[in-house]
Amino acid sequence: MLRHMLMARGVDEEAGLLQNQGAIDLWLSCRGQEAAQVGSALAIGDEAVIFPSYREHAVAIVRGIDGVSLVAQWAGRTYCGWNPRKHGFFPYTLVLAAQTLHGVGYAIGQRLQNMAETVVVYVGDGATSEGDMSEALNLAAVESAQVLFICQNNGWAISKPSHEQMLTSIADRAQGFGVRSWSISADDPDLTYLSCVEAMQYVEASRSPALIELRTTRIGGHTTSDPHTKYREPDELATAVANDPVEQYRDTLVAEDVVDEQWLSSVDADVAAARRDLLKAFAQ
Amino acid sequence: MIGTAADCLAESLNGALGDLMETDESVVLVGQDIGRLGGVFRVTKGLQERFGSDRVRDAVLAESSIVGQAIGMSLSGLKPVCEIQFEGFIYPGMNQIVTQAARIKARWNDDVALNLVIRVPVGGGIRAVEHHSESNEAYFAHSPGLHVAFPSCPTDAAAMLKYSVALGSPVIFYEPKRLYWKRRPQTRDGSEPESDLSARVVRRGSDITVVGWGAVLEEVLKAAELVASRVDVEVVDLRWIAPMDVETVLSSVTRTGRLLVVHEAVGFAGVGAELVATVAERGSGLLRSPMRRLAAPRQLYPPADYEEHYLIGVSDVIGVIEEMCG
Amino acid sequence: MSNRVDILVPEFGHGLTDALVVEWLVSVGDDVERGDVVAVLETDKSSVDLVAEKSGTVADIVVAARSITTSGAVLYTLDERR
Repeated sequence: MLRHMLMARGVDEEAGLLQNQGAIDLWLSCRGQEAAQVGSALAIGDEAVIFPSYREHAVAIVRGIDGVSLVAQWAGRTYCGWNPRKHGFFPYTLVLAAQTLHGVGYAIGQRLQNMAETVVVYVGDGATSEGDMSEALNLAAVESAQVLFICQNNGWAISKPSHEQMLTSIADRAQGFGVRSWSISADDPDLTYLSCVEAMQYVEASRSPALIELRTTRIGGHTTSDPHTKYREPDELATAVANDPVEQYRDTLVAEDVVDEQWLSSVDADVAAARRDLLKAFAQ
Repeated sequence: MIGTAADCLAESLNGALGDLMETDESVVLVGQDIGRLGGVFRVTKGLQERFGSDRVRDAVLAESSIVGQAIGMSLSGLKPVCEIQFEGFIYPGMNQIVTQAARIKARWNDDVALNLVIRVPVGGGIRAVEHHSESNEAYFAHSPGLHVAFPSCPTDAAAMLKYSVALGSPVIFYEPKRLYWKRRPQTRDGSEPESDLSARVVRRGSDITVVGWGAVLEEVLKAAELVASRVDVEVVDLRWIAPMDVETVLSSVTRTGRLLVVHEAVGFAGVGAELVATVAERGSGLLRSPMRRLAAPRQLYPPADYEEHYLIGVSDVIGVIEEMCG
Repeated sequence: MSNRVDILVPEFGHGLTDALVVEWLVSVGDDVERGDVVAVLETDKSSVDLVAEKSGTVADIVVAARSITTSGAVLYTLDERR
């Protein structure tokens, strides 16, 4: 898991640099959400088809998508830089929550063709205000669609904090539609992994939908165009940076002797190679 | 259940849907009240009994859900044919149609077949209440990534539906609702359309080309018959709004030298403007007189009592033909 | 081996091209690594911490602090370290 988190962080950082120098147009950082994304991505396994929103870069990396393919659309070269079916990771959907209905329809379609596998839909906290999200939860419930909704609540929808976006938790709202749900703090990848495994098992065994709310942190702005320091308290930002899930997990694994310097060096080399690939593809 | 020339539009579509579902297991129907009730216009009558509720699905009351889940079903390998109950209620589904269905092929770099038909009863003339008599093909004509079908007779509707279901690209399939149960349509020239997407000359003539689509062609053909002793009218059924077969219209205008476009929808920024502008760009040398459009004014479709005045009638068509040919 | 390169003012996105150089955080002769913040620029929309796009030694500050510049102009030059 640490490997994926370090790779995601490296790609995310490099993409940020590339945008800063004008080599790509826009970047939406997932910095701070690596534990939520890698933990959940590994828990759901290789088979489930994923309908992402647009910030699940660490999930993409777990699914084998390389940095250059991931970044291509943010450089204006394509709408989607990877082969969706090959990776089971469908194109990013920039219209909020539109993918939630697609995921439910896909699950229904699979069941009708006797191919019942769990479909995973990633969605953010702000997107849960869109009508399509409510429609998708209701439809999934009524159709008993085998869908796991993974909602990353990173606390912000651009400048609107989650507590102003909704009165209840997202997990509570799902229950209102009759969808089993959990809400966990997702800064620890191991805990996130275990919770998501439980959620997946529930969906598979019950052949009915569920939603897991992963409470996480958006360290950066909404995009590189977003001057988020204008609306975030310095304390909140400082805490977010201090609780960096990637740093913390690395420190934990080193302290527990799960990884050593040699391992870390080899991962760093791979990350550096991926960063060089990005530089070459977009800045030279 | 098999379509014949004597069928009305609803029966022809019912037959076509039945044939499609019989031969291809991946075809499924989704719409409000299409299963148990057989559809508010009975177009899907008997299909749930025949094919079961897994394949003929009574949708929840949410147009965005109908289109959104159909997109997902299509991505999973099915060929969904969904129904929006009336054209006036398509708007909650606009987002899924325009930002998703129309764009998914491009987003996937063409590496996906998005089979998706959205059937939409369209148009007025049935004394319906608000929102049930609109003609909104222009919104979809304007969206790249969508095919827009607008048949005007039962045989075309069946053929165009069969073509649309496996096209691999989303189709907004309009069905003129006042023709659903009309059993004595105006006579049309029996020749086959040149291709699946072509327009069709439905009446041969030499003095003027009148192009239309949907139910208003009944008025156009009647008008053509009534003026026949004075004006020899050629009538073209456009059949597809997008892609638009301008070639057939141009070859007709080459012979007649005059063009009148008639449509039920509001004329301002309507589809007729697109056709006339294209002919102006490509065929102005062919014209003996200025082109015209006969369409609804830029006003909301009125309450039923005022409908007759708002809709284009046979005498309206005759009037403009005579002005143009006089 | 070094190589003097022009570092240009980037596109800022959203149609923004003009920027005020608020302050320089490096001087001529400073060594920078790719990713170090070298200057603060301000567009109509927001403040931008400009980072070094290449590693090397700052050779020449072309646009002085408190001047307005535009995307594509040479901002500073760098003796690039490969």
